Amino acid sequence: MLFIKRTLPLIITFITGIIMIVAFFSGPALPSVKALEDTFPKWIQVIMSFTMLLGAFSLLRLNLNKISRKVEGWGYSLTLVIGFVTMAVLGFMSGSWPMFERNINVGDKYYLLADDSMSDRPVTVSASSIDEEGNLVVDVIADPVAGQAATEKLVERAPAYRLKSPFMAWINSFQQVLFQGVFKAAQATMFSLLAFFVASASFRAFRVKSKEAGLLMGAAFIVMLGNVPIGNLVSRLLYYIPIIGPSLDIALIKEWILAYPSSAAQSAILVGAMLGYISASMKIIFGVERSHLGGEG
Amino acid sequence: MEFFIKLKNLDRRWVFLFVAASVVLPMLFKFDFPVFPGKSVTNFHDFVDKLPEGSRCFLSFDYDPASEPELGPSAIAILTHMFRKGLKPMCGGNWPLGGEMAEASLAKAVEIYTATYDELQAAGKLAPSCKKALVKGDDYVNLGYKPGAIIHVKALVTDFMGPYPSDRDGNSTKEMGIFKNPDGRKFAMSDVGMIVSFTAGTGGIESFINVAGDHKRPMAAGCTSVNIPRFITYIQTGQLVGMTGGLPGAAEYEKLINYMGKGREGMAPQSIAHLVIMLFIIIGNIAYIAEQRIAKNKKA
Repeated sequence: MLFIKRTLPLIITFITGIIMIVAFFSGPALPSVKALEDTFPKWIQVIMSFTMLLGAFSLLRLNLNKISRKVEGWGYSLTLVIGFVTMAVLGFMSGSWPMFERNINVGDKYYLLADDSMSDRPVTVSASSIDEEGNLVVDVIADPVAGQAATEKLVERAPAYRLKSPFMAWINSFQQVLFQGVFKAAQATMFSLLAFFVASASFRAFRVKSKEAGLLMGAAFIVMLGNVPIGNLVSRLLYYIPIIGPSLDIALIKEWILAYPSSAAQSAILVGAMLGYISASMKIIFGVERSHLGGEG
Repeated sequence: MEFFIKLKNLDRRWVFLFVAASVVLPMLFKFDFPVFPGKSVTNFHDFVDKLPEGSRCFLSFDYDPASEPELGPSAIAILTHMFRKGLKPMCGGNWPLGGEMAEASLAKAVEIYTATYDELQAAGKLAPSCKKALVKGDDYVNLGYKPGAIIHVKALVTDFMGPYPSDRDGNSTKEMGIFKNPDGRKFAMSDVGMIVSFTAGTGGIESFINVAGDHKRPMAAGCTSVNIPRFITYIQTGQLVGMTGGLPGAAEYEKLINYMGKGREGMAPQSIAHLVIMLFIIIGNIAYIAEQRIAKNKKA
């Protein structure tokens, strides 16, 4: 059991890591190793798809446990499980409906999915045929909209896979309402709230207590001004300052700060991070770091 | 002095109220600030402008709804520009909701392109091959999300069509005109005119940069404002041809394509909000200095 749980993963990690390193440095000199390097991404993608599934089940199990034991805050877990299951079911159904609705009956009413895949409109199928590429296409007539005068009936050709039954149209709409109206709006709101916290935190904590802090604040003000059009207006005002005025272009100073001092610091951080990345990778490949096998440091 | 000391202890709800007002009022009264495109956005625009007509560009939507207000306008402006230049965007995503983000941006860009087609055509500002009705699968495609980020990009380098047997809607990519080469060759990464990633964090443009030695395609990025210092390094090193940073970047790109979108509309609230935040920092520091002086005087 220890072999399967610990030794085998370590052997797989070691062999895979070494192959990837050899493949990178050998180039086309070792075609068989290079072929393996080209195949690995496909394997990893398949494994990653399964890890997503594993993660989803793990999240579900964890929260179901919390609900069954009624631990503190179990209501949040219940909300999560309801949201999770609802979105998953609706997502699967609306995403896979073309597989279940292949039989299109002439004369029946359907909903035609718009190009954005979000909206739809009621139509009646007047004819169906097979196009040059062997795909099923249908001629549809738009149903008159309630409250509007009936206009000339226009026949429109559309691929059959864009037609939905009323039930599937409802599923799709409900899923879109939850996604656009709840999930998307909630995520955007959470991110937008940062502006308020940044304002409050900077008001309370951003103090010029040293020269470095003063430098930081000066740079921050220039970048904040230079990043928005009002910086250009400020530059125009500064232009009238004798001698130095014309060179006080906030947007240009901002670009210089970002392109040189900030970029230099960022490059140093990146190089450091990459060296750390290489070191961590080597530790994992040689089995020194084993926390990924289950908590052993 | 006392006034500033009192200000220091200002209830944070007042701060929130001022920030809210600085965002809402400019939106209500429609202030307009002139936008001047910066160097990296202009370079990005010019690169897209000079791509040969019919070039297929890979656009990776590596963000989710949280960053949509910042990155969406950028994506819409770039897609619209590409359509006007007769380029063919192929959208994908390294983030799970990238496909949804791409779908919304594509729909809006197609709408803008169609609405402005007649006017621009009459003015001779469209590429000769541009046609009014864009066809999904021929003129653009949404390939949806694929897991793996850098691994996915590596897979695309080896066999572009391998990870994409179908598009986001489940249509077979084999039959799509956008993937057909005039010489009948299978579509490969080398056929991509440029790579653009709209990046909100990890798994975005860096996934493409890290394997740039393999794909050797020119790259550009759209990123959130907080990520500008992180990605601007790649502009300096020449790994990115250009970048649109946050909403201001989108506004600059909109200005270059002469379109009044969410980016330019958002510049007034963002400008005023920045000023308000700066004002609060200054007030906080004046209060701090005042407090220090009082403490010093008391000691003396």
